[in-house]
Amino acid sequence: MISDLPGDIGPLDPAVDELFRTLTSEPTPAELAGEQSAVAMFRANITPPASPATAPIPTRRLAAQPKPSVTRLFRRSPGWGIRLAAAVVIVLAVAMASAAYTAALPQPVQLLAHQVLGFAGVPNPARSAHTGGGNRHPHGAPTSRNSGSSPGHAPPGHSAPGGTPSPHAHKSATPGTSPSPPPSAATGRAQLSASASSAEIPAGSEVVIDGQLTRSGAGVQGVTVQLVERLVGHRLWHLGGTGQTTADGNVAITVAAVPANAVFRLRVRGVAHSVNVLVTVIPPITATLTPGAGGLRDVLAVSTQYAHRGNVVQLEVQTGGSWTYLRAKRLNGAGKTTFVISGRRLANHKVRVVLLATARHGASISNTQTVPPPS
Amino acid sequence: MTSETGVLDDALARASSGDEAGFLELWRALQPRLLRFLRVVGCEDPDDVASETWLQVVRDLHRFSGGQEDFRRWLFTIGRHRAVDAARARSRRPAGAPNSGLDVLADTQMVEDQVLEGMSVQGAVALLSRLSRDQAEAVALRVIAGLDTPDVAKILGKSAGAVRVALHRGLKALADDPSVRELAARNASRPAPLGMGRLAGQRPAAGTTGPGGPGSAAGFWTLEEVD
Repeated sequence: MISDLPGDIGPLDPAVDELFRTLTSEPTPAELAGEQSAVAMFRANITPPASPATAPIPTRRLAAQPKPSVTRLFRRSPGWGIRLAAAVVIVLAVAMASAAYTAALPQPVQLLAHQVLGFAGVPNPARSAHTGGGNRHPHGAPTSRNSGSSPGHAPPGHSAPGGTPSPHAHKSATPGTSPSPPPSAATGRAQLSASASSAEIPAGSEVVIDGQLTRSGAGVQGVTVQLVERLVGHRLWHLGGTGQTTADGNVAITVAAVPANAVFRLRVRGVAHSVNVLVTVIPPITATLTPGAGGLRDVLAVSTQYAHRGNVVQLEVQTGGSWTYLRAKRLNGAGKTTFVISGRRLANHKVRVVLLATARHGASISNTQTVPPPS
Repeated sequence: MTSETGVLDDALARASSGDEAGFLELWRALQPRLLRFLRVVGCEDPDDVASETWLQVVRDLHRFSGGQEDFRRWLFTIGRHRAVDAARARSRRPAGAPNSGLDVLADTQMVEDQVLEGMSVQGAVALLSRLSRDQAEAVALRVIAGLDTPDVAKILGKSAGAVRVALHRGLKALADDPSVRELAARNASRPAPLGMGRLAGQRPAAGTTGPGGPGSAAGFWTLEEVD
């Protein structure tokens, strides 16, 4: 092993030999304590090797290539001319259509556009000129582009009474926009409140979301209210339940088994929705102390549900009435870990474990255990 | 912990293909050595630095090619770099609150371990870390990491000759250290603990019979052993 050491020191000193033997002795449990974390880290970060079919050779080739210029790109792509021409045609078509809908084209061209696309709302230039008394009608004026003569909307003269569409008409006819009160709600704006039965609940337990639907201060009865929820870390809302409002507009919807922090919202589709209500879950955590022989190695086993691998728990000891941090460990995939503590030194002290909060759950404190004196 | 060349090579191959069991085998074989090396070079939080080291290893494992000896050299190179980074980062941070001392109450190195192990690993590491930085690193990489002198020289950025000189001086300083002799004398009456096992390149000397064999208490660390 160390044959190439200078030979003038002779055989290794027995004391040094003993030192080296100790340095290469069997690993202690502490040195292998992070095994689960290491495996979790490996699982999360390992990059699987590329299959032969997708060997990463082209990557190196690409990296070695000079930076491609725009002209080289065009030269290399055989269909670039066709794509460019198609883009120009599309731009021109959109421009022509816009001009036709706003009656900005010369009269013969506008007439031709009306004959071809009249069904889609392109105005008749002669009619516009007539109704405008020789002047350009607001529908034909450049300033009237937002006046409602949009595709899919009723053509001028057939839209809103008086021939002057509301500036909001286009917006309300556009699919995908936020819901706005239907005409029947115009006289009184509907309001929907929401609150949780508890802002913090044990993980996995149920929560009740209460709400009230009112209009002009009075409860609205018999309306179906939806509860939508979004777990932390998820982007999409999904339906969590429905309920009917009572005579005073109240509704209560129960969500069973909430596993992680979640945001809830009540809504009456197209009429109103409530503010978001955040509910934090607290994972139950238990600590079980097993005294070791002679109080040398007491084991405090920690177990929890609804926490995740890698979540941090910290061991605390009560000294002088306050809790003092000792050390921290990460949970394994089963939501468990152990602390080895000295029963001799911590005899008669109370210890507990605290699960630190994450985005998915709140902080949680275990039961307290008293370290027994060594037997 | 005992590792044969083929076993670790196989574990390395399996880990490279994403096998957790293979990685775990590598980790179990090398993590204790990595921790001890980091402690020798004065790393204040060797667990954190070791975790950073393994993280980088895992992320770049798909680009690694070579056998277990190359892997060991790679691992300790990264570990040394991370230790240097950690020391720099620490020097830029203001000193934290004084330690209350309570953390030792839950130290996993229990009295029981120390009694059973004779000279504790921590004690041995502490003795080695008394050497100058150059000597401690050279001896630790040579003995704990099990690297040969050219590899140690590459990691330290020195010539092989300079490493040999550092090793020579380090061993001499250790031999002259009364604490080392005292601990060795104390351990002489105790049964020898099991060794961590030989890594590739750590062949037993001809004529040695393992722990308690001729030449030394463990039979591993005599000059007769050949790389």
